[in-house]
Amino acid sequence: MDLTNSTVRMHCEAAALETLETMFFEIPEEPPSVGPPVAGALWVEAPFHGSLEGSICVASPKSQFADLAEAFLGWETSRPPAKDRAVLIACEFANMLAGSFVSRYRPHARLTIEQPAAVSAQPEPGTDWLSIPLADGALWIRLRFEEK
Amino acid sequence: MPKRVLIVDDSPVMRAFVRRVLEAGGEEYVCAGEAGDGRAALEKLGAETFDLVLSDIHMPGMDGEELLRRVRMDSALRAIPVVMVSTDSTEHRVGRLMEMGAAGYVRKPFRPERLAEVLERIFPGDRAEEKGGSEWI
Repeated sequence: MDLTNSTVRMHCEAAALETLETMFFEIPEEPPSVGPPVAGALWVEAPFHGSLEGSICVASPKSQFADLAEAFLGWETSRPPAKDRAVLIACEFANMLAGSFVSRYRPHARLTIEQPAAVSAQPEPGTDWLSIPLADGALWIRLRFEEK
Repeated sequence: MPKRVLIVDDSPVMRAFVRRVLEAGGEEYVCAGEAGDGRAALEKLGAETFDLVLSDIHMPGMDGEELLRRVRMDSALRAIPVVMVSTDSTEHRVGRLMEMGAAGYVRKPFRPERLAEVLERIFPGDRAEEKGGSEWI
């Protein structure tokens, strides 16, 4: 199982693009970069365990998740998005992202993804966030794990 | 007559997405019911008629695997195809579900075409009948 930084990042990027393209119909026009989320971003975390212990975090402004909701479900964005809708979309995105990422390490790794949940604290600054540019904003992803 | 589909997923977002995919596919399938876990799904299956179940695996309460097992054991329900839709795609898990009688498996995230492909395999004759010819046979 190749857990070098470059391979992990490659799989993480591929999982993010797969999820955005297949379920949210959003195709990033620029390559991902590195940088922390904007202040006030909604932040959800999907823990996983098994051969690896860790989590995938997804952060973005609530309005961005509302835009994704429109693509995903046809939900209107002309009115302010309900907070719970943004959280639901963020959690579903994190769940699918984690599933797509984890599948890239199977059958070598056996991993179970827990139910994603919103994190009340603000996203931590740092250089381990992957920034995915979207048409009107961005989405940030952070993957942390350790091998068992 | 459109196939009546029961969508089982604890995520209302996912249920809404699958419903949207089914509705976008035309009049062949209709979302006739939704359930948030296996137990609620069994109640609906006992009360109404469905032609197909699309079920998540990991759900609080009764999960998708137990739902599949109970549907297969119930003489009144066992003819209903159950397709599993989940992020959990371990070979071990998928293999076990297929052995238990799952009619198909769709890994999330999925393109709408992938779901259509699986459903076409389950109901291959319907399109031929609708098209009124043998081109699909």
